[in-house]
Amino acid sequence: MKLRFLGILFVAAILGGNLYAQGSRTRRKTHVIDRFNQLSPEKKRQVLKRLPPERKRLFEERLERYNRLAPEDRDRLREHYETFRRLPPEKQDEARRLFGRFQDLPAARRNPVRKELAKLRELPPEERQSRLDSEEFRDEYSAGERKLLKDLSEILSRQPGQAKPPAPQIR
Amino acid sequence: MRCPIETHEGAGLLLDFCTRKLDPDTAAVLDRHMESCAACREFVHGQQAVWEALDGWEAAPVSPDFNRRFFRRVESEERRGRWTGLRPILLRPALAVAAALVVLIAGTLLDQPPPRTETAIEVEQVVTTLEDMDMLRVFTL
Repeated sequence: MKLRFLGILFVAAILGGNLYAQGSRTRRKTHVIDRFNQLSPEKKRQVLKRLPPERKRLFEERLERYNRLAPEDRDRLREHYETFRRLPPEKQDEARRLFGRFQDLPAARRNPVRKELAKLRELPPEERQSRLDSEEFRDEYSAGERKLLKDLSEILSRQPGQAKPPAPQIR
Repeated sequence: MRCPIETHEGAGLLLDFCTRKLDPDTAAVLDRHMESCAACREFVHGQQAVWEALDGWEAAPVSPDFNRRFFRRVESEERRGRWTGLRPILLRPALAVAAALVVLIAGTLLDQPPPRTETAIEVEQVVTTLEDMDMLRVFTL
């Protein structure tokens, strides 16, 4: 009788532990930005009050842009982010540094460079290399832009086996 | 004769002398040697004292119910041994339950984020994540 009781208690503890762990995992899976979005305005204020004013302004702008994305684009962005997070930290830092250089480009050059990068990312390594070596590529971009595109396309290129995302929604 | 104490087989020879197992000729030679060897004499006298003491020892009489008490004790030890052997088996589920409860409680306690540090960690995490996502939005969407 005592043994049966202990057995039942044991099974209940194991099942309870599994359910609890599952719940915990699901909670942690929720994206950090979505968790932030779910906070009450008061809690959001509390979280952001530690930021310097300029950083807080930039944060709010970025959050606004993120929240304006179509749900499909948001999902794709989250997937890209998960891939990015799996990169070695030094590559992540390198990408951030290159992004800084990209932002320093004249406004008129950013869009062509961005579009070129999108094309390069989709190419297999050999084709990407031949595009980077092509005369057309040399004519279109400055030395700095070419270097930026080469480095960025290497870091952000689609990994083998990584599914190609659907085309973005035009809004 | 060489002194038996100085040779390897000395102790055996002297013990056989004490128990009168030696043949008469060897015993006579040893007897003559001991007249001049104090060490052998001392060894043989010591052995003889031990034998005499053992001969004089009388064992205490066994009580009439010795056998009954002895077997009762053996039986109770066997029974105790059986329960002792079973104890780990009986304890195992209880230990497992206790361990599972400890894990659950620890998990519950560890899962509670400390309220004071949460804000600091969370804000940095949220800000850097959003910065990275904004960069990826520019490059990938």
